[in-house]
Amino acid sequence: MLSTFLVFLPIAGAILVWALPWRTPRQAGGFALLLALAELAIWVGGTAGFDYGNPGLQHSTTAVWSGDLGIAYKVGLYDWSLWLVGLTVGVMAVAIAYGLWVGRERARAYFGLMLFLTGATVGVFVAQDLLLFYVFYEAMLIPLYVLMGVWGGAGRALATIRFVIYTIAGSLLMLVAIVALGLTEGTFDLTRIGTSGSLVMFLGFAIAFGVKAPVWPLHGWLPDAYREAPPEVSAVLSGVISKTAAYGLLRIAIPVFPEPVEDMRVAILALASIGLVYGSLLAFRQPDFRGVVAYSSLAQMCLIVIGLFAVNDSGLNGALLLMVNHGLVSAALFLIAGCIERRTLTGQLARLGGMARGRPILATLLITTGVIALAVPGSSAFAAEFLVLNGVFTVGWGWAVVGAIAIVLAAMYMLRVISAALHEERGPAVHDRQLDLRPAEVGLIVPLVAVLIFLSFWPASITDHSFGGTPTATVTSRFEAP
Amino acid sequence: MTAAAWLALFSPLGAAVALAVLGDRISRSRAGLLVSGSVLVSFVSSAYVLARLLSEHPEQRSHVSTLWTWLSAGDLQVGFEILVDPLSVFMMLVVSGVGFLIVSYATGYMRGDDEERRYHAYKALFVFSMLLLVQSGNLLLLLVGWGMVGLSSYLLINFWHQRRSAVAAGKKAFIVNAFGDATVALGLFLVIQRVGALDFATVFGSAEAEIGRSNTVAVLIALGLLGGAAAKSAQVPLHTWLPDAMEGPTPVSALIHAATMVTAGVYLIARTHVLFELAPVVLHTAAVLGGVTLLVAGVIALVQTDIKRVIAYSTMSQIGYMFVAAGVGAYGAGMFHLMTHAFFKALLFMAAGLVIHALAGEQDIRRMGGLGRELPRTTRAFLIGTLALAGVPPLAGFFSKDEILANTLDGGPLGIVLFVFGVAGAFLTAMYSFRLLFVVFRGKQSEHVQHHLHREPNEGPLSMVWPVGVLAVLAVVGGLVSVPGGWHAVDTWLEPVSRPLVHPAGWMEAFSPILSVCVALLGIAVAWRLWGQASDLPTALARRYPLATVALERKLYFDEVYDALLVRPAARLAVTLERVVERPIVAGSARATAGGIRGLASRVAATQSGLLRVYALVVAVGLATLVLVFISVR
Amino acid sequence: MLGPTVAAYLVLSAILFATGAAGVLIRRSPLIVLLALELMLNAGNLALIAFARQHADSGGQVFALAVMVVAATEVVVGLGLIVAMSRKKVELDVDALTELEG
Repeated sequence: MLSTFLVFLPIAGAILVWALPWRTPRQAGGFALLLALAELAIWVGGTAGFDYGNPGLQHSTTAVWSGDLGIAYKVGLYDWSLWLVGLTVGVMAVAIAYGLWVGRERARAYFGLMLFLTGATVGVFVAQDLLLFYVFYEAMLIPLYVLMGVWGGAGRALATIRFVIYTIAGSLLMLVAIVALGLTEGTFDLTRIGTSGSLVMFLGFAIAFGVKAPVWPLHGWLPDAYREAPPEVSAVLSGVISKTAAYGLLRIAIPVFPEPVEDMRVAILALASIGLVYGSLLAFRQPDFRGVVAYSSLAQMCLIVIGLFAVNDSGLNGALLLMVNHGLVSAALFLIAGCIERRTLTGQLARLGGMARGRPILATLLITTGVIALAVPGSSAFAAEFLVLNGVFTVGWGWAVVGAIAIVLAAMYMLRVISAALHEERGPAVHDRQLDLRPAEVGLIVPLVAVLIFLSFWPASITDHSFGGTPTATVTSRFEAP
Repeated sequence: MTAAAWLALFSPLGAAVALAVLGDRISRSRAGLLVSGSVLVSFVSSAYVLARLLSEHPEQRSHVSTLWTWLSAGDLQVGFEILVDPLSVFMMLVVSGVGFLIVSYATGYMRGDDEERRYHAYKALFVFSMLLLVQSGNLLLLLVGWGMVGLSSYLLINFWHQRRSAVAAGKKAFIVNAFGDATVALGLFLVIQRVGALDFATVFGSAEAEIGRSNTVAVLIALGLLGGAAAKSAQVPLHTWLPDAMEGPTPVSALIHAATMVTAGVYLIARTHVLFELAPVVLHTAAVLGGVTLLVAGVIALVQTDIKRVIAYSTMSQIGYMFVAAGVGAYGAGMFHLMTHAFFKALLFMAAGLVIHALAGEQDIRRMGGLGRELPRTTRAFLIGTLALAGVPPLAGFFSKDEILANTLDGGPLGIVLFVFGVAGAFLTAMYSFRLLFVVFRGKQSEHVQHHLHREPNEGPLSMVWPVGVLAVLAVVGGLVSVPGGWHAVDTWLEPVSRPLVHPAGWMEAFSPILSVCVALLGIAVAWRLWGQASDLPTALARRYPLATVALERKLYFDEVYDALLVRPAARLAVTLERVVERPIVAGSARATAGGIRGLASRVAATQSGLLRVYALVVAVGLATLVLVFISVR
Repeated sequence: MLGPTVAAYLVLSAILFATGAAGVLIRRSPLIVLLALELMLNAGNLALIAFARQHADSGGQVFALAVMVVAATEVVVGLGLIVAMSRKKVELDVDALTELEG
């Protein structure tokens, strides 16, 4: 029941936000935030009773829709997808709180969409039926289109169109692959589906997820979308939504298509490695704060893909840890970018600078998040990247060397952002009147950073409690309990 | 006992966290006291651990303690674990002891700075990181401490972050060290692949069986570790960040960029000597790097004009000696020099800090001079540091440096070459260190000095003076723990952890000190001739050899070479990628899709003539075709 | 049962249908188009009745009756439209009505 509840609580909340006659926008937003926090509390409660030694499906619910076609409403949680659901509900709660804090216009529509997005995204992470997965996957995109297109920045129209075209093209490929896979296997039930050797179907899934992640060179929608969406939507987009792609690779593409994965591994690792270096180099060139975070997201997603396609214990654990970690890091960075933009009205690095003086909280939070993002040894990002590169090292030394180079590049672009915003002389857009972070903003960002610091002290809190402790065996058995 | 070690580790972290959380709710002086107190707790705990270890049999002095599993992946389990053994206790004492003195000094040095609390918090973070580095019980946690000292070094170098040069220096230091971290990580991947674990006991125990001797894997592992060591310890060619790092406050230079962090490379080699000994080629490479660095840095130090940069080059040069020692397998001698160097180099930096303090931030030695009469105590401290650095007996530097030189003599043909390097280095050391002493403290007072010198009673607040005094005493007597021909306390103490590969004979222990003292005295004499009295000889020399002078002033063009080979090509690549690849992908893809759909739509629209009978005809023809198809297919 | 076989009826039905279809496609006057449509419907009716006779099943005849009703209502609507057109002084030419052009 837990999984179903986590999906439909926010969706029901969304309907209430839309339907009930709220007297003020704040009321609607407050109600949405309350629901998001309740969702988070339920998730926290769920982690307590979870059986982490068991690699199988837990908290599952099944209701058959069509027995002949093997379609069912089937949801459930694995010990590793639990963390992604937690990432989702946590980041969404923070994003909704941010929306409430900045006072988004058309509040009922906005908060309803945010709640609906929460439910749909959780749905993606818990769906155990291919068609149900597809339904949630698409349902997740619709609120994003609207959120980006209505509440976005000046260039939102073009950004939204690009995002729509890319994601719909990817989704259609996936739909074809899903139907073909389900019909050939005789069931859409992910826990019962057999393995397939079809390269075409695999590519359908891989390209769809590659667009969403994104993986080079399918990232054409990324820079504009991350720049033009409202900051909290960018945070959700790069923090959570991109993880659905990595989840899809891990849950569907890799376990169901073992042979195509083997055949295409070198090609995919090559593309991801190119993307890793490419994203890092371009991040170094971006003129604005969000642009740097956007391209660093590209690089990080490529690193996650590298870990996944190493398909060994180290790579899989590292990729999962990196998913959670990058979700928190990029959410925090986009929210900090939003806080800076609210003060200076610009994200252009050339117009920023010297913000550390007199704003110790902003400086501390940005530096802490930044150094975690660049994977300084001891941070959770370092732990994750160490595992990822160690995993891919056993596939081939060269991949790990490329990854190590990219991590040095990551230090370069993150330090550039930190210095450009905080250090040196004061930029033209920076004035003394602009205050340090307000308590509300601190209350939003500190929880994210606190979780990151906790994970830095104990990254094994995730790696020890995922895949029943045996990643490779769990993935190759397609997540069935032995 | 391990509880005390954990306390030593976490006490500075607690102070750092408390300062971060309290913000400006704690007064500045309390913040300083909190940090120095926490480091004192570390030192006392370390001393307690030492006492407990002393009471044990030498072969049993090794204790592992794990708090929790830090990271796991399948069979690979890495604990948050510390190792208490003679080597780690030795380093803990040096780090927390010298650290305590410098942190106390810094409470006086930084008094009145706007962001004093932030400074103290960073410093506490550094001490924690450094202790983590030396106490770690496995290679991964060692790398964690390794990276975190780099981070705190970055934070402290650009502490005065309004200065563009400080920010640039901080970034440079971080990135060079990130490169070192990356090579170490790559080495660890190989270790994991071969051994399947990272804790010291397992790795060192099964290294020879699982990795083998002198094969590619062994060489690559050792090279990875050496890359990290050279980057952290500023050895050629990864040294360029250290002189720039002098942008940080002087106590930072004393603690991080002289006494502790930069010597971590030597600790790493001593700690992982088992892995290095499997690849003697790399061990010898380390020795050669050290030998080259000690000469290169010594020569460059001769012409630098910034008081802190001169000392920074001298630090590089002295670490070069330690690398030579570690490279020939004289780990105890290397660690001994690490300790005495921490004493006298911290002393020199702190005395230099007093000079800078007295001159209101001036660091250019050309604008100093004649300070000896004005700052007698500072002069005495600086003199002790200089004598110890130059290796004049019976000060600390003499014993440790000569132990290294004696050990190289036993190191085969390579050892002889390194011995020659070392002796030449001793000459250079004496020359540049006395140049600094003469130029700053003797001669005529410059106009700048006359205008800006503000003389306080006791030459600085008490909090700055007493640590200098303690270090001066240590710099005088610190060498006596190991006396050639007598006893070798450091060697004996470290024997269970890192057994040396060389054992100098009696004549070597007698020959090398005599030779090096002669050479050092010669160097002092030359320095006296050039800079000790009014003379135009230095300018004449510079005019006679302009190319050499410029090359040295430009620090042998290392920065320029890196700029041309790495920085600019990378920037160009990024620009090219943005123009040639990124624009088409981002702009092109969407435009192509949109344009394609629009073109298709206009073509399809043309078929809509609006003529009903055409539609009807199409329907009829289509129907007829379908019927025909169905009939013929059946 | 005497008389021509079902094939003869079907041939006639086909000829009628083709004539009607040609009329719909070729003629420009809406009135004639309507007539041609009726012709096509009746061709269908003829086929239905012929098959009903052959199978001795009255279902076909019932169907033909239903078609006649539909045809009658269709004529009513169609003629109504034509009258409305002529009242609005719209030219009675189907080729002139191209408002659906894309």
